Amino acid sequence: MKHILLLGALILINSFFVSCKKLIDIDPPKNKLSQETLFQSDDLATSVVTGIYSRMAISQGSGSIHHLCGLSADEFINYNVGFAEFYKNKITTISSSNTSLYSNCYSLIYSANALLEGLEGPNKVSQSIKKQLQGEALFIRAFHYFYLVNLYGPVPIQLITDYNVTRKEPRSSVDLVYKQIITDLKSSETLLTDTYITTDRVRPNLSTVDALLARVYLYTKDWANAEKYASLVISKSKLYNLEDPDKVFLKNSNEAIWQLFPPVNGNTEEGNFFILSSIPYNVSLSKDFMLQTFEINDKRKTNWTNSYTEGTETFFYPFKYKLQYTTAVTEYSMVLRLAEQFLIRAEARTQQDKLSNAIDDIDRIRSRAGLTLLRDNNPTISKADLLILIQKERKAEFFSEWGHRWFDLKRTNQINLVLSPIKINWKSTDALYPIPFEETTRNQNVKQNDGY
Amino acid sequence: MNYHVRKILFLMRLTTVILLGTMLHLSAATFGQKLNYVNKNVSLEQLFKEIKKQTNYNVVWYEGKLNTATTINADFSNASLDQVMNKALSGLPLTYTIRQNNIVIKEKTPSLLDKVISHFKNTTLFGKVTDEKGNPLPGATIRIKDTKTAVLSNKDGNFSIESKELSGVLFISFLGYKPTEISFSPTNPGPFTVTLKEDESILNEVQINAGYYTVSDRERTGSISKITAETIGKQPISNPLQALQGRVPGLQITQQTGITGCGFTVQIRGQNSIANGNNPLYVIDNIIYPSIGISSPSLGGLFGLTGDSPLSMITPNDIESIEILKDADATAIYGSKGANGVILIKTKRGQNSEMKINANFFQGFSKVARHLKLLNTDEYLEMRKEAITNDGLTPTSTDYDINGTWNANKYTDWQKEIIGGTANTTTAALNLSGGNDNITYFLGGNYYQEGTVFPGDFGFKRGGIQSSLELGPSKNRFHVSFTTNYSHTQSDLMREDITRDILLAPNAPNLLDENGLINWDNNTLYENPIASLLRSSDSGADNLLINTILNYRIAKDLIIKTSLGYSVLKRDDYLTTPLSSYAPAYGFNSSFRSASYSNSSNRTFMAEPQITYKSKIGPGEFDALIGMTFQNNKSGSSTITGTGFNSDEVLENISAAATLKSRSFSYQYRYVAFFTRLNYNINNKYLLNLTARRDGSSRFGEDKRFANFGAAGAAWIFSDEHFFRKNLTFLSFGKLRASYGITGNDQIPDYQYLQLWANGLPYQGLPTNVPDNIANKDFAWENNRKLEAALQIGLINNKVNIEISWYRNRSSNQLIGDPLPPSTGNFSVMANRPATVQNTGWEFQTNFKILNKINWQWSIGGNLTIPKNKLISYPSLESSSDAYNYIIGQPLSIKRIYNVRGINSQTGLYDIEDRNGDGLINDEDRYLYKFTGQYFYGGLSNSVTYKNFNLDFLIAFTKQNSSNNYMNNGGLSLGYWDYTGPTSNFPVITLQRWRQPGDITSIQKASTSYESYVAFDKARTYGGESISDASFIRLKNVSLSYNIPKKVLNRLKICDAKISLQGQNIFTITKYLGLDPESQSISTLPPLRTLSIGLNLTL
Repeated sequence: MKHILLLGALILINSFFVSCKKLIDIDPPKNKLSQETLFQSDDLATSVVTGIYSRMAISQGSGSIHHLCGLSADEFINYNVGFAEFYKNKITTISSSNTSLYSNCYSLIYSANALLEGLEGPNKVSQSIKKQLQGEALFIRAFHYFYLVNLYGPVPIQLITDYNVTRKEPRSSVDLVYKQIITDLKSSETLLTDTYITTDRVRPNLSTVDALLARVYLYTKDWANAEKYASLVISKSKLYNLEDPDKVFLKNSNEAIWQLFPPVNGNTEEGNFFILSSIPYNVSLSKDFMLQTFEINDKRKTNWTNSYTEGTETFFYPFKYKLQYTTAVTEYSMVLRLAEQFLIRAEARTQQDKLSNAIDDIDRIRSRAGLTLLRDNNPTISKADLLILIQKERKAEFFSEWGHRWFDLKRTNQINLVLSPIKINWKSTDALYPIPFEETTRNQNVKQNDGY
Repeated sequence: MNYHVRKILFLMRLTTVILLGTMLHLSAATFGQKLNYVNKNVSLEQLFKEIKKQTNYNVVWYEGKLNTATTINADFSNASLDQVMNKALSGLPLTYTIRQNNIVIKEKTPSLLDKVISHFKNTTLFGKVTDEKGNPLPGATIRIKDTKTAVLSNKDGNFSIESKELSGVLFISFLGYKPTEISFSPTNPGPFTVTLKEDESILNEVQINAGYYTVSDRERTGSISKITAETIGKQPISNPLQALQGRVPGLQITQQTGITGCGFTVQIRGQNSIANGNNPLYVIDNIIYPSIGISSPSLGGLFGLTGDSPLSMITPNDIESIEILKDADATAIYGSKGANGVILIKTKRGQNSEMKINANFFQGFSKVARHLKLLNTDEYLEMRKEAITNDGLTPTSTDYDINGTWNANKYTDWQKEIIGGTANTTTAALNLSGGNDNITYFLGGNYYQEGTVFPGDFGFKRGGIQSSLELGPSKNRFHVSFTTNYSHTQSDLMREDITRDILLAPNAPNLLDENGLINWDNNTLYENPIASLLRSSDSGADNLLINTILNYRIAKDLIIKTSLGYSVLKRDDYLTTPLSSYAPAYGFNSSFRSASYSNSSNRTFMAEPQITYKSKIGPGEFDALIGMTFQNNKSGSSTITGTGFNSDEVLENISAAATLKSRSFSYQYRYVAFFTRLNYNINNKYLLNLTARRDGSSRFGEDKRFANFGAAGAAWIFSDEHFFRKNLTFLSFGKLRASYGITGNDQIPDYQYLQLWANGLPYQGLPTNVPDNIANKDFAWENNRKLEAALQIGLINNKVNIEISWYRNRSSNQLIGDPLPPSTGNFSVMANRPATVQNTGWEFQTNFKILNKINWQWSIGGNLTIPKNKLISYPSLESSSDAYNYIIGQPLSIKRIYNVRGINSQTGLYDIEDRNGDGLINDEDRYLYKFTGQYFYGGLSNSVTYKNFNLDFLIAFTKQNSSNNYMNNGGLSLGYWDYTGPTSNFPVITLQRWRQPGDITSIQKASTSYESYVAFDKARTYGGESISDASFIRLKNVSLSYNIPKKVLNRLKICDAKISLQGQNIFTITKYLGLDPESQSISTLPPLRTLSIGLNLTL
């Protein structure tokens, strides 16, 4: 009896060790996909890049650049405690708005890198889709590095997903970051075509890449290339034309080079955020900004701003997007549009002393705004005055869009001049936002910006 | 005794024998009647009839004492009755006496001589064993001390025992009674009446459930505390966890909110894991039970807290006992799950008795016990105006509180309005139990409901059925037990805890207008708590636990056992956000109407085959257990959220939503283990207990799934040693025990080793995928090495019991979401970190039985825990993300803070030292630290019984710091006004604020400026200004009961009836600057004070 039991116990123990490895095998969760599955079909691989765009379309994503940079510059008045640090230009390293601004860019870069790696590895994605997706991923990476370098200065360049490597990456100089941006955009240029891959203009195409390249060359003062790439886009007049102000931000507007499809249930997050139907609790356009920005009869003032009055107080707000919480979707969120290309080219031409050509470009924008033409008014304007005028035009054209005003003040070295009179305790180091403390404490190779 | 003395004694005995022998002959007697009767093989019955016929003498016997069918050969001629009877009874152990006309046959009693002879050959001692009430105790053991001679008392409690010695000591023992010694000697030869007292000492025969085996409290080698149904029954509580508060050393239970059904934090012996998984393992009737709520993560934390508490689905009244396993010896058999201790819950079983019906009904009332002293209208307005003045501003159009929009003379006590209500509680239960040797059964039903203190009709309801059936006596070949526990809970609650609204400006308008409608006061009120209540959360949950244990005894000491368990928790949540819950001033449209419908479930199947074997090996007894566990757990949830409803009325109709969004989660967890326990017991004095387990868990990457755990425990019951018996007579029990072992922790989310992508928001109407995590295939178990030493003593017949334990737990290989710099695209990755956390502590538990008289019983008990947590090592802490969170050598619960040098007497702002002088106040300046945990905690219990009255109470106490006080009132600084938020008022302590230059105080000036907000925020978050004393002494529980006298009950045919008055959280003494030092917040509902009255009947 005892022997049988002993034998039985041994068999039990043995079978246990053999089978228990199998006993604890589990299936992946039903609501998620493993990395391997993701690149088994064109649709799944495409869902990675569209996942990036859907996240961009949410206000707490890159979209918060609109109001945070607007607050840091001279566009907005703040009513929200969470944004106060931006309004006062006293951003702390622990600011959650700043952390999400920074980390959202990198999170999207991570997705782009994961997509690129997935397409490099074993996969079943068709050649044409693969090319398209690689082109988009490279563009997305460049796009976000552009914002990172302009918000924070030197930043770590992450081109892979392996966290064991990326967690130690030090900051690269501004030049290197721009170099990387241009490399990515140039590669992307070879992969994309002028066709928008889906209906609507909500996924980048070749012109989107060229438009961003034009901007990058403008920022890096490579005037010739800026002019060249802006011209490339402008020349595609079958695709792109300036619209009347009230039609610019509609979906599939002819001016759109790249728009974002709004998140579920509505129109744009910008409309939701800016339009006032009560006393503001986030931001409103500053009255000084309203007074100083627009010439008389500027259609942009009448079309793109609005006000809400309660009692004796009037609050102004950007009204480029006219719809708030309606479900009939007629507006998409604009990222890149043709007007910018005209102003890029105008500036690039001015810098290259092609003043007359530059005036032509500016007049395209002025005439759309219902303003008198420079060609009629002041055809002999000096280069310096023209540059000032271009900045004035940019201010009126791009307010509340993608941080244009903040970046323009910085790159034209006007920032101290413009902001020190209106911001208490303005310091020149405030031009760069602080690297969030999560980055500096978790990656000892990353040092903080001056002044923080 | 020396030889000569023995000799003399022997001679004395002999003389007595001779003297008595001569006397004996005198006792014979003769009778005159004669009998003539000759008959072969006549039965005694016939003979006795013949005697009656011829002599008219009746022969009387006791049935059973004499077999009257016995035959003899009757050959009597003129024989005397004596001759006849002697012949008839010859050879039988019977004798007779003749009284009047009766011949009475009875058992032969030894003649005096026999008695005397036997007395001096072997001293025969007689006696009777009874209990305190005089009832005989059959089966008691009577032993002559230091010999092997022992007998059992008979059914009448009588015994006789022979001693070879003339004097000595009788040792009388009986299970459940205190043993007694009686000395005998020629001068004290008995007979003895021995009264045994019931042994109330908790140390003896109390059986402790250690999960896979049971052990007597006396012989346990591990650290296990037990709470019984009796203690639980004295508390008017809804969650069994509340019953443990303040009663178990080493167990820290914090009720996070007074909203029924919501979360508790439970820690056994401190925080072991830096990042997650500090929950103990719950096992209910052998089934592993979830420790965290199962409601869908997409609903967010319900009530703004940690969500539902699964233990709230267990009815306290159904519980027979709760055991808390703490050290390695007790927990290592749970392997990878035992690191944070184990809480075993056993539900009620039937008893071997006649059918009993037990019914109880309680009605209770709960209220918020402690209100804050907040600024009244004058003080508040003064503070606000002062803020505006300090800033050199004038009130703006939205400063409704001070710009004249709101009545400056109005005062509302918002605490009264919002949390001042009374929550009624009703408890009812009916149990039926009984059984015999072969079957025992228990069947119970119960109902509980509790309202809330908030305005409106909210509440929590629970109904349950509990049954248990046991077949076959445990000694039988086959023994089966089957338990089922089902409960349904219904929580109709609000989505947000509106307690935060007690900080509304005291002159804010009424919440309801004259017509009883929600008042938005011409769009000046943006937050109306009554409207917030419209955002409701209705949840129904079902909980079913089934456990079957099959025991098969192969041989006397070899048993095969299988435990099969299945549990299902299902929960439906229905959350609504009607548009009417938002202030119209926001101008929200129909897209803000939303409703979420969510189903969650958690299913666990467990199978645990086991073999137990007992044997005598060498000088001791060997007890072995080998077993295996297989656990399969599937959980998940799906949520559909509809938005854009046309009207608030149709929110219940999901198809009326304009848009639908759905989310689902699914998890699977598998776990397999092989475990063994070897126990060796020598003379119940030296005990050794070894446990081991090999575990595999699906939560780890393929190469890291298996690991070994084990522990050794030993105990020495030194009070049984001769030396202590002889020299320390006051010591009735003494035990030293120690244990060491390794357990593990796998409390991390599932699938962390897999690189996964989850659904993002659709783009162009098509699904998208976004990265879910960064994967790490190489992380493994967190180890916990536990060491414990303890001393248990019982003094003066166990009237005083003391247990002192010291423990040291070291947790290493910490499983942490390793924080990553955000530039990696993620904030963390699951990984093992080379850090070690140590928890050491002293635990004391005592019990004094001060009085134990028939009418008076009084005992007091106490427990105290002094925990100490320490981060022992953290290689490269300085460069890690935790650099500003922890300090090596300090507890995890410290907070690194700035040096706040009080209030700058000129500016009125917090003056924060810029340590490194770089002109900035940032993390690098946080060079000080403050402790935010417990210094010690414990409880004092008292129980007094006088006749039919019983009074019990428990005082719980904690010395601790809290990192949350009135300053964390939603993040607004003093004087700041956010017309959209409710949190502008402050406690009266802010009257001491800085008012003018030169003021020396510790509270910042009132101001709406950004600078003051920053200073306030820094002082609050990293300045330690919100770290303050939250120590408290609380009268946790009071129970007064009266047993209705038996006399009264007998007439009503009721066995037992008891009327009780019970109270929970009666009063609290604390300096804490918030609502409650336990929940430690100013904006969540504190644990409530409950008073309850009830009746308990047993039929």
